[in-house]
Amino acid sequence: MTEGRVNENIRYWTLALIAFHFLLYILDIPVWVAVASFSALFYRVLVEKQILKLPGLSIKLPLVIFSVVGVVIEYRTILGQEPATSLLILAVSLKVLESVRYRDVLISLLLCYYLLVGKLLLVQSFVMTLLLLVDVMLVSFVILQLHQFKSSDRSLIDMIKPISIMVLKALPFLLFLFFFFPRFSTGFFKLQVPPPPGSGFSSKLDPGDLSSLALSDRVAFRVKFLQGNPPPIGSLYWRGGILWKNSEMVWEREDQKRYPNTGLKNLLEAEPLITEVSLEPQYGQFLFALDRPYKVRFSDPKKSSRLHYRRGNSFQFPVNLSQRVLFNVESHFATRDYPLSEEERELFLQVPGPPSPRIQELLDRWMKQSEFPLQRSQFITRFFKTQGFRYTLQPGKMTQKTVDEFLFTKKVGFCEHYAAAHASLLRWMGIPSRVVIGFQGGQFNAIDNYYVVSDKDAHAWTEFWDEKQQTWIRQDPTAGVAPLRLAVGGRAFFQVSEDQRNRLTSADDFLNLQNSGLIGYLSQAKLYFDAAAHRWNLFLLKYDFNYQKKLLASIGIGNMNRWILFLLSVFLAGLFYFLWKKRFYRELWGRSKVEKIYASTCQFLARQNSTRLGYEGPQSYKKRLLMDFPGAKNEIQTFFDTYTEIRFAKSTAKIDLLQGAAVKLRKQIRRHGKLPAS
Amino acid sequence: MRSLIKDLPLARKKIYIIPTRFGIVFIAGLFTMLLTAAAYANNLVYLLTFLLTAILLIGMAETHNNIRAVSIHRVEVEPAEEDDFVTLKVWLKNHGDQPKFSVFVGLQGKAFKKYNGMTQLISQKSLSSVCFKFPANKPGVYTLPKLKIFTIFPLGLFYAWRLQHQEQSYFVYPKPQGQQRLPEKSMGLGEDQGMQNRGGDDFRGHEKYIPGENQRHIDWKAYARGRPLLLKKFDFGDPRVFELGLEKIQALKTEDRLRQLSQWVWECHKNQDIYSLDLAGSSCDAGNGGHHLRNCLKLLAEHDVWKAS
Repeated sequence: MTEGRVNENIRYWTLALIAFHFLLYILDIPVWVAVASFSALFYRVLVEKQILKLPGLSIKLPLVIFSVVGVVIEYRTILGQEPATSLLILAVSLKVLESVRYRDVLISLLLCYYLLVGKLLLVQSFVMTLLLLVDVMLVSFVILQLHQFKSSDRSLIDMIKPISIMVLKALPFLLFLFFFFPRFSTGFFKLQVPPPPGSGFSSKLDPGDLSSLALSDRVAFRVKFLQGNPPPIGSLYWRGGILWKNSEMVWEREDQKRYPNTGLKNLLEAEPLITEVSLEPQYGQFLFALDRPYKVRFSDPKKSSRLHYRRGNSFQFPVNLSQRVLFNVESHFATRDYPLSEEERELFLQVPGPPSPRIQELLDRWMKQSEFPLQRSQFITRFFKTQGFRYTLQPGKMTQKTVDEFLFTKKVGFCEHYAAAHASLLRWMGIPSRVVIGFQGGQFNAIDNYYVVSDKDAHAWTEFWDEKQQTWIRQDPTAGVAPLRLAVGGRAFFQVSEDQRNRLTSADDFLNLQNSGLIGYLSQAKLYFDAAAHRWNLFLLKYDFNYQKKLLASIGIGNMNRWILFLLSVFLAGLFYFLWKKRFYRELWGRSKVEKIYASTCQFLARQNSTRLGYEGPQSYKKRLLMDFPGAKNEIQTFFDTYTEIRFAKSTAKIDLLQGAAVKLRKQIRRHGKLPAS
Repeated sequence: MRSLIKDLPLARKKIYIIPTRFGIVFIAGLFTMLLTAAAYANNLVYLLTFLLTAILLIGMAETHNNIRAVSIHRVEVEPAEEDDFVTLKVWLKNHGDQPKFSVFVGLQGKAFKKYNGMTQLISQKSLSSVCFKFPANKPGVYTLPKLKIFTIFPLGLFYAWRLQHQEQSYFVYPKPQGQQRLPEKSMGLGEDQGMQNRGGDDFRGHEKYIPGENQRHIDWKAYARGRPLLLKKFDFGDPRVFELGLEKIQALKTEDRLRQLSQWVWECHKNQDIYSLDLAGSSCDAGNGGHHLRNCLKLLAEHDVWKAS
């Protein structure tokens, strides 16, 4: 039945499906694997066109060996996610070079599902969910076509209909299994996958680093305020980490020590802001949180404990973040810090050398004008504002990377230039300072009330120590050159060209521009899509054992035993429904009852000395009884006729009639008695 | 209790269902997917696993449904020659309200495993025919094994089947074989024309085609018009009469003698001669035509020697 070659259409469909699954991985696999796999597909198409012949074992065997050796050379191992993926893709490619028969096609299609699983492990998202559904439909469709055997020429709708109906029928089962199947494990294994391609934050900030990051349009994280009123976009600073090692325009941090989380002082002054952050996979280990964060919580306490606390209220992951994570952050706007230790003061005052004479002149002037750190800091910002500095995504390269070069020669920069120069100048004036890297701004999604922060919002600012207030104070020098960038967020700001930007004077202008015409509708649609996708992604991340327990508790299944009991009872109910529908039990039960009534009536008649003989059927027994009990003639007739009818009928619907007839028969016979034998 | 169950509608059409080899591999695959989902705590892999599980369950029900209301309506067996193939034509009836796809019919028993036929579609409340061949071994009279209706539609994950007994027997005729010439004592009514072929071109009428006959004389035009396979018969002039019998052949095994007789019977039939057959114990009176031919061939097939060996 399943011998022989499969239909030509199905062979092409299978090839197309395999190509589709290869495409899922095109960016993840080495180039030679991609080339090899697509060449195999192309070769196969040529075979189908009868231009070439399928290779024999003498070619295939070396190919197998080359594949394995190639993967080993590429990765130095065959264990792990990446080499396994490459091997799987090569295996499918080799299968492509031989699949002709029914069984080969099925195996190829099954392997497609495994390729999909591999991708799902890397990316859990809304789009992947849609892709999964479409993929299952497509693969099942081809499998179904395969079993139509000589599929005749039917319309596409006729062909799609059966599989669509099947998937629809499968949905209730899917939902039940998905929600109620216990998620016992919180993951034994951790995927060792590289972070997504692209730059990110590192522990060193060179002039030009952030501006290149801000060229990308990728979403960095999404934030929802769970407690407290969200501040205006201009005050949304997302803290990543702090840099304190100063070499003029280049800032870095050096130690990888873990610090105890000392938190913040005087927290009772106001309610904390609680935010829920879903952080996208990224290059680097920074955790971004609303400034200033002091507590980070994951639903899995183990994850929270693995988190590293770093100097200056920043948190860090122990490894590069390769998958989306979800956590809650508690932050405070108004804070007090613990006093600076001598060691820290030294650290935050370190300078690479004395400033250039031009800078020294400036500093002397400022220091003469005010003794307050805040005012001195504002002098710098005003300097940026008044001396013709320009804010741009393309700042160009700096040759010397000195503050002097930036202040007097280039006068063009992105936020990291201003932050670095600002912090350096503060230190030369004897004010402890540091550079903070992270994000500023974000796009508000009013549909589901959350902020989307993207790479466009990447930002750097400075903090200086205010001795009088005993706290670190944020000072954003970018406010001097591009106040609108801070007010509207990076994404909106960089969406318009630089010329246009210079003409716009207020944040409202940006908003008007964004919400006008077709672009407005498009961005609105995008917001809806993003809201739906975000909801789903959160659900995928949140739905673990704890969440499941909560859900079940809300429908009254509090503990484990009840849960098992629930699953068991649903299973049994399903089974009984199935059998009931088959009328098996109903019929069996009904029939046994019929037989019981008949047997007990026969026993009763036996007690009346008219025992049914072994060979007697109901009709012949009836004839004899009619002679024995002439007084109960009608009753006997009714009972035996009803019995015969039910006995040979398809249904036992008349069982009540039989029961009634049996009762009447007994009554009548008891009343009249047996005719004495003549 | 046993007799009770017999009456049940379910028992009357007992359907068996087991996973196919692909189904077993698929289930094993689902299991590894489930382990992967648990190991990496990945909800999307869970989703995929459960979606495929749900499709598996629905597929099982659909496979079962695909032969649920299908029964064998009628069976036609064409007699075959020894070492040739028996042709079986089975009409399947779909009593249900849903069309059935890719329903196979085969025979019970390991020896017949490879031989089956398939109908792509049986519309609701209608008939569809399935034709297939299976090898005929020795000559003789056989009862048809139980027929097996089976399907793996829609996803090939499950194999559902039902057995249905059909009271039917079929003949396997001995192969026409042998070098001996027709017995000389021919009582020709006209002049003796010997063995040469007497061609004639007077169209006499149609006769039903019997497998084994010369296909050259099939009336293909009539077949194209929707009539069964018919042979065009031409008048060959006056027929001759032959008395065929086992005792006419010497010095051979009985089986080979029967094959020789078969050869003669065919020869006479083709030449439209009149012939009788005597098999020491059973015999067939003189006659000719398709019906007579079949009776003679049956007689040859029924011979005890086939049963003995």
